Amino acid sequence: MMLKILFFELRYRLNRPATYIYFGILFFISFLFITTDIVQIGGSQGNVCRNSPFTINQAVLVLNIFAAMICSAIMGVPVYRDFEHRFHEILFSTPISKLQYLLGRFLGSYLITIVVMSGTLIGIMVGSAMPYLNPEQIVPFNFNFYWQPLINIILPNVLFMGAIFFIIGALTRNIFAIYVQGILFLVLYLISNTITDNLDNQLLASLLDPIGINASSEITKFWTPAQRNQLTVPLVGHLLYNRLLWISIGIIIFIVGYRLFSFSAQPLSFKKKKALVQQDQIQIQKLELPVTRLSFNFTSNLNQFLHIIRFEMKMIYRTPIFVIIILLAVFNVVINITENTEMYGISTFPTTVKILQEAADTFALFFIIIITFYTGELVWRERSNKINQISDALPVKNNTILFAKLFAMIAMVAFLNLIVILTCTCIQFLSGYHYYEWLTAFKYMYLADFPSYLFLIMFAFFIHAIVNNKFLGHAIVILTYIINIALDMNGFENKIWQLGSIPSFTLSDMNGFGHFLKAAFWFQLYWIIVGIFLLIIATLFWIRGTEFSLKSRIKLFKSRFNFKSKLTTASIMILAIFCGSYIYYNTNMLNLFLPKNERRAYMANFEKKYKQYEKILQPRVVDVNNEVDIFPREKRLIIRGKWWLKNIHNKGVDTLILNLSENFYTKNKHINFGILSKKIFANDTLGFYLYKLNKPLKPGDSLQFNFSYIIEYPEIENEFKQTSIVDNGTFFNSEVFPSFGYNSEMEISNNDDRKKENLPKRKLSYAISDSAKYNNTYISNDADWINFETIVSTVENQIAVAPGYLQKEWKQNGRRYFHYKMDAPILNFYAYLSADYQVKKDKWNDVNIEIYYQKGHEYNIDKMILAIKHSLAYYTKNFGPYQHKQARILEFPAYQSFAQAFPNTIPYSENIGFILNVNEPKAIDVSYYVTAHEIAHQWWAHQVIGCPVDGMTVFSETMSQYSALMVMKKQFGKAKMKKFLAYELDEYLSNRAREREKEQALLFNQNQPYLHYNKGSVVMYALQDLIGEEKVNAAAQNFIQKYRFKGPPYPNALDFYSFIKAETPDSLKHMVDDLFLRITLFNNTCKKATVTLNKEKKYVIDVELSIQKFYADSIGNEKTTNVNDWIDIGALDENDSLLFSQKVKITKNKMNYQFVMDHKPSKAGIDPLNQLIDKDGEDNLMKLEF
Amino acid sequence: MELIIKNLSKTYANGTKALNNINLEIPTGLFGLLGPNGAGKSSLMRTIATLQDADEGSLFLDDLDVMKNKDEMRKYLGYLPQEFGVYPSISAEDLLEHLCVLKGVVNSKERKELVKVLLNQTNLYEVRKKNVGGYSGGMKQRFGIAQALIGSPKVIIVDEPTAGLDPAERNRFLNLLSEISEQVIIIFSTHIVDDVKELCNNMAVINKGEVVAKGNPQDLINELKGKVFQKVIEKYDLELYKNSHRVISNRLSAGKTEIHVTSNEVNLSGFELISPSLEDVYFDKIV
Repeated sequence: MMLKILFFELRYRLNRPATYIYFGILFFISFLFITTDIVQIGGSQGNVCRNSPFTINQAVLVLNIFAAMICSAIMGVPVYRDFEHRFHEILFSTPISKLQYLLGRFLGSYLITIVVMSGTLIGIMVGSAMPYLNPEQIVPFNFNFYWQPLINIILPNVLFMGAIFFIIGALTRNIFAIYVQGILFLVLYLISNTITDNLDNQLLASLLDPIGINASSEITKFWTPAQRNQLTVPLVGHLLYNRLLWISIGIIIFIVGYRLFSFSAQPLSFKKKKALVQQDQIQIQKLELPVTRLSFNFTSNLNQFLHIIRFEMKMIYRTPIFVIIILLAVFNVVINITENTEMYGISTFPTTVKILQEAADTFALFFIIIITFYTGELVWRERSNKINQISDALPVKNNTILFAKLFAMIAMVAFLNLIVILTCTCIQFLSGYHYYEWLTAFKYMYLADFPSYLFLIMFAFFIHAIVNNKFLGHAIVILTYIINIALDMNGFENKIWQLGSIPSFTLSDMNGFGHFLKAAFWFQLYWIIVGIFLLIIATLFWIRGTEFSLKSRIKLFKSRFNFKSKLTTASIMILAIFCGSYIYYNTNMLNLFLPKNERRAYMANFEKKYKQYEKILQPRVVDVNNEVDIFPREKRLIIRGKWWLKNIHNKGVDTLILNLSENFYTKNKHINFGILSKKIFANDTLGFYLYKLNKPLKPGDSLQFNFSYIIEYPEIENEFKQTSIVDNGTFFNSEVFPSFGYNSEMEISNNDDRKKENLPKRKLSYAISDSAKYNNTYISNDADWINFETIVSTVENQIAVAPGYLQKEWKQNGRRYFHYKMDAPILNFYAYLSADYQVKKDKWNDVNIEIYYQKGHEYNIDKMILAIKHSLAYYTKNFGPYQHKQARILEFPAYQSFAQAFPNTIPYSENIGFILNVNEPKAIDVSYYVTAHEIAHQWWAHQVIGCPVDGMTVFSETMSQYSALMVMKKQFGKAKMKKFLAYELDEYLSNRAREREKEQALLFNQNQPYLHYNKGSVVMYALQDLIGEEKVNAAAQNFIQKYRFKGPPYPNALDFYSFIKAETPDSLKHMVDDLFLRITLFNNTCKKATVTLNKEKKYVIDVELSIQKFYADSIGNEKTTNVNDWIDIGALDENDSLLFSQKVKITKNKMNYQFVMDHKPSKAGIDPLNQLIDKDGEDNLMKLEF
Repeated sequence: MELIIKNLSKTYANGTKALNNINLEIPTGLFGLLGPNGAGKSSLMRTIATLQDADEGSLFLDDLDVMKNKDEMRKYLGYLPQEFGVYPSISAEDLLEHLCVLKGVVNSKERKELVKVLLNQTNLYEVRKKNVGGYSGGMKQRFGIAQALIGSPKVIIVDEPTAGLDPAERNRFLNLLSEISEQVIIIFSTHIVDDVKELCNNMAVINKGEVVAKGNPQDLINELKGKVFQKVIEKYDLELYKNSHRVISNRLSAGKTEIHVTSNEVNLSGFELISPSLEDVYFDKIV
């Protein structure tokens, strides 16, 4: 009997087109995912193949989340269907048992759902076989790659989700519940994900995720590309527990549901239904109705309009799902904001601009869900409730209804915006941050964020009015979001084509809304006009009455499309075209608008045409004298330069190659070289010019280069990319100035893109043996150490800053002028900043310290000053003298999140350091760290700098990390360092897994941040622990002394390394080589640890250790190698402070060790401070039992 | 006041000819629309209630061209559809107020008073705060008539209002209709002949989209006088009689079958001449 029901269910489903559509959707998505770049779902990159087992696993997981909707559509309805079709009456009178019935229906729909879900796997399988795919990106077919995700993911997930959906459907028998439970599951899942993401406890995070993403990624997190291409995710550890847990929960839910399910016609209800007492009498003596006036004028229309708005809003607020969604959304925002960290586990103060934008972005998904869902409900309200025949016969105008419903939606979204603001205010209040900026909040929510939702509402109204099928309407609205993304990725990057798209921008505490809101207004206006146009069409198609056939609707449309509405439609259309054209004129004519493909071609073109000039000798810039007028409001720079160029080669120079990178935005250009010359070639689009000197410049001779031009940026852009010249907080660097020689920075660096343009592969840097490259620094092709002087002017209420010392300051014509001059040679790399700054001054010995900051951002200034003082003290003592008499930090807006060291000048994003909350006792003081790092650059980069070959950043970035670590170690102690280094190690391990090209050994890194920063920290810390801090410092000092302000030729990483090796005793040299020259990994484990008290009341600790060491190649293939290392063995107390540690030479993979200590330990084991690069650092220590 | 329907025809997209050249003049008072299921009664009523358009023909309320001035017609209209639902969790009072506003009763004092009276008249006042969705069939139907009375309509259309009501309730409901029918046009459709006989001055019988009879019920009965015969036969003889006579109806009676036939002959052997009822008129027209 059960089988009969099961087969009945199967047959039913197989006869439904929906089943095939669901299957097709999943098949198609994953097919596209494998064969194109249109679909991005946790995709492969770089060295990970398109159909690697890891990618398949990932795709199945991600699609599983969204397939929850499909699962609910199939598994939620079987029982409901029987009741809806009144089949239950027949069914329940048969001798079938409750279990047979439920199990039959459940298993039948379960099987079907499994088949449907397998669409993902089959799509990938078929996609992988497509002959046009690049065979390098495809791994050969292996049945296990597909079998494993089916067993690990699909079967258990569908069982769990299916049980929930099936039981809820069976118990409520309410189509609305079935209809929303998929969405609700999705929302709940996304939220729970935010929570588990922020969990410190790996086990809990892995277990709590019912889909299994966390558990899976815990296993694969550090997998290298090679492993990702070969291994399937094994069903072990937390993943196995996770699967067992959720399968059991699924079964329990089914059993509980089975118990609660009653074989009667009444659905489960917790409310006792009270039957109303029949009131049968119509007592009509004489029917006398009061005289009422019906009015049909403007006022009554308005009255009706307002009434319907109120009525509809009440209807919306009454649905429990509305309240639930809002609560969930608020909850999600709170979690996101309170748990969000900026860097190293530190978050910023909850300033209004920071959290409001975060909250609005988090809320956006909910806005979209609510708008999509409720617009459909609103349009369909009368018909869904079958009251349309009554309401449609009432003398209320179509437009009154339609616009009232529209405004009810708008009012609701406005209300939700208010909720966002209130949520943020509550967060601020509760975190003790009492600087509320209501005006900013309201301005942002209602002027910046609101209009795009406005369009969305109008659009959804339009679709629902036209389509006349609620579910199809929803599907089309959702499809539009997807199409928008596809448009963006396939050449329609201009926002005027992407429905409702408005360029987004970052709020900054310094610059507020900047000019962005003004510029976004045009896009908002455009979409609102388009929305109104769609609404008018909607009114023409609006259904009134009981006729739905296409023929009658077209007839209706024709009768409504009279002269008046033709005129309105036409004029709105003209307005939209006008507005769109204005935007297009701005984005595509005034701006250099390059869609992705064109940009690629454009850059490829540059390389193809001008690479031939790469070897032509150019004079070097030796003396820079700039005059710069900054006009922040006008986004304009007036630039005049008087430079000296010198021929340092032993041959004459007669051709000058001049680049103007901002040429598109440049006008009033005057270029003149001190001697007679002729422009022989000009490419104005690319800003590439060739000048022929009448007389070659002889070796050792100099020539003057005079130039002036105006750069002006338009405010309206398709995406707000121009964030350097802004109302308050201008920050630009030397890139806006001319440069000489072929600029290889313009070349495409991504090798996939290069292939598409038929360009040869390009390495990220040149080979270390390429001595021709030793003649340039890695940041400039046309200069060595230069003299620098500048006059910069800005508006009256701002301070403008550039490298150098202030010589003079004056006012003229309502502008403020500053004259800066540098006393020491600097790299040809400088920045200009202008803002309404506050200045805090201090002094260390004879060095002036100045912090330029936004009023209100005083939080960490004292810490920064302290860091500067400590850094200057440590660096001058250990590396050599500081070349400047001044150290300045300048704040710039949050459009970019970095700090960057220019000579004596350190621009510093407001998000990094200035508004970070580093006050919690456990926190790593990031502002201190960043400051120490940037100050270190005054030595490491601004005194010695590498040439553009492999390893170029080792003695700039890595050494700055080292310098900062040493200053921090002194200030905060070793325990804090352990925490900091743990972040660095984790970053290194997870980023190497994502490497697109090749992982290099640290010494030969190709400017990869995860190597020169993160691995650099770990390696340098281990090095100073191994050979001693003073030895490392001695190497550093000797290196600096030899190369200070020297070059060309410039030193490379091997030059630097020789100084390190010189300080290393022979017995440790192989270990230092492991750190710098190889990719070395450990997997050390403490298997057993016991403690006993000896006669002298001391603690005797026995540990049993397992030690494994690997060398990895550039794509992550690992080879075990012999251990021959000095490794720490030791113990920590309950606060994780080091109590005891001893370096022990280890040569075997297993060893036992005993040590004695005075204090009571809590944990013992190997490498207690995690100084080695250990693939799993969690199992190094064992808790000691007493 | 008179509602004049001329040459009204309507074919649905699926090919069903719902109305076929309907011509009717409907004066004030109760107008009964009789016809079997699917005869086109509801189509006709929805057309009058401005919910759908006809393909051909015209519809005038005195001088008002209804099809061209739907909004104007809606001002004078009260409509109780055959089946209707209500918004979830809304009280009778709130829903009635809502409908009042849409009807054009925007003065809130007047509206409140009207809602109160309507609920009193339909005896729903006691349960006015209760969810309409929880009402019994009869209560919901009374709510339906209450909303159809908003704004003192001149034309009231009620589609099968007595279906599903118990006899007592049906009586009271019909009384209510006749009570208000003095000044206004009330069109009500039914397939229960007695409803019409008891109340209506005018009626029409519709079958397969066509008007097959119209006029005063008594006149129609009179027309059939002397033409209806009755006979009690064995059940198995029914086919036989159907072939030889115009059998308009048959019903079981004490194990035998009683048939009615019509004939123009003065005397029909074996049959008994009976005085015709409205039911005979109805069956005569739709056979």
